[in-house]
Amino acid sequence: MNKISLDLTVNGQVYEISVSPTLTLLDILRYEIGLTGTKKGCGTGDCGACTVLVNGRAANACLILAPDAKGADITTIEGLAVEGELHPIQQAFVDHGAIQCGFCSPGMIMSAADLLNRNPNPTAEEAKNAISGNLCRCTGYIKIIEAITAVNKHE
Amino acid sequence: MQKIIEVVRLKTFEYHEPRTLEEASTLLSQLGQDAMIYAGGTDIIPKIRYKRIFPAHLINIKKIPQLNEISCDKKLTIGALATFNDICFSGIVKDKFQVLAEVCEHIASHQVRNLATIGGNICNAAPSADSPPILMVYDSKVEIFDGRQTRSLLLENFFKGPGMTDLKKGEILTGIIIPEVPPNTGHAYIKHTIRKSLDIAIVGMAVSVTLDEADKCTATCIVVGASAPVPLRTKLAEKYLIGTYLGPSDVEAAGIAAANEISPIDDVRGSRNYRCEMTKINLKRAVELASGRARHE
Repeated sequence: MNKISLDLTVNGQVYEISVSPTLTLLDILRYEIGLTGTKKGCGTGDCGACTVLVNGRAANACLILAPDAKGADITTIEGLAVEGELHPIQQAFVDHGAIQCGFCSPGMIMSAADLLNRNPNPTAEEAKNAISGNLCRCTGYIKIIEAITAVNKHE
Repeated sequence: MQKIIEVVRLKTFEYHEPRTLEEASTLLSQLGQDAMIYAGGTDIIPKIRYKRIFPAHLINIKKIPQLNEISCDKKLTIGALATFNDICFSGIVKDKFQVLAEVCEHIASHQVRNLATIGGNICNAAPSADSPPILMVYDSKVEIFDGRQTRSLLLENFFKGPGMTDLKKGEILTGIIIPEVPPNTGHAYIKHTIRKSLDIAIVGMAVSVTLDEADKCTATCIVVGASAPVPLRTKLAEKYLIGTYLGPSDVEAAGIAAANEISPIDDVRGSRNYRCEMTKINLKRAVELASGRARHE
């Protein structure tokens, strides 16, 4: 199997790597680059645990083959906080107790970040739609929706 | 120190990245049945992971320019690589083909809609797919390139069975053409599911209705998804509606005819009988919605 060379930007840092084209973006993030904040759940696009922003749009990293990550600008959960300061959506999750076991949180937060980029003041219904591709096995959806809708309200 | 990590890799395949349609078609012809087109990846990667398909070659067509464009010059042209979010966020589609935009907005999840392509949804030929029924009631055609020339085919004639299409060796679906919507025409799609997102239709019901000035139905198209080996146009049911004022007895007769025309299976999502009953009910609901929209056109 021939490896392919690709460069991609993850959280502002450029990586040049050589990988098998059968790997997914999720494999690259976790095992090649070592960013394990992005979780591996179902591996088939159903649970949303691997949600990252690809060129600013939320996508399941488990459904993107390595060659499609070539030249892409990726933001993972590790890239949201700036200089140790939590991103407002991360802070909102903390403030609203929107975290239980925490496994779905990175994906939930990335889906929420995508929504807030498109729509800074979402309704509860819009928040529900935005996270409808993210499963929470602890079923902590109410707190998550409260956190998302509150982000830009208390400012 | 080398880290030992267990990566569940996808089964090995050769990866190809053609830059032109001609090159892609030649590769498809040369590599034969072991080759598959890779576009959005949202169906193909899970199928490889679940060991339901074993392609020896994946041909990524996303490097071919202009295949994701959406343009409108009376008729709407959607490139095969347009994602569902490209379509539902498109001003042209929202403005002139509103129901198509609404259907695309509710397929799978937001993350999947950023990846999944409309061409892939069609070529997978899943009987339960959401985009074919609504595209069919919009009278859509697909454009197919064989390496030399392009042919166009009514979408209705494209499906041959579950996972089977009219695509011949070396052919690639390049786009979807939707003609201008006739005046006083309304559309509706009702997806009957348990969950609103990331769920597969138990029954998908798409209807178009064209009315004359006196609200008499002059044309209709009814397509039922997830209830036959292909998204099924129920022409007998349509006959019960054409020339009527869509009264309760006309719509009920059409519902019974549609339930007789489909051939649903029993599966984990619903029984054959349940699908037949929901076909009757959702046909009524969809006709009501579509005719209401036709009156406001």
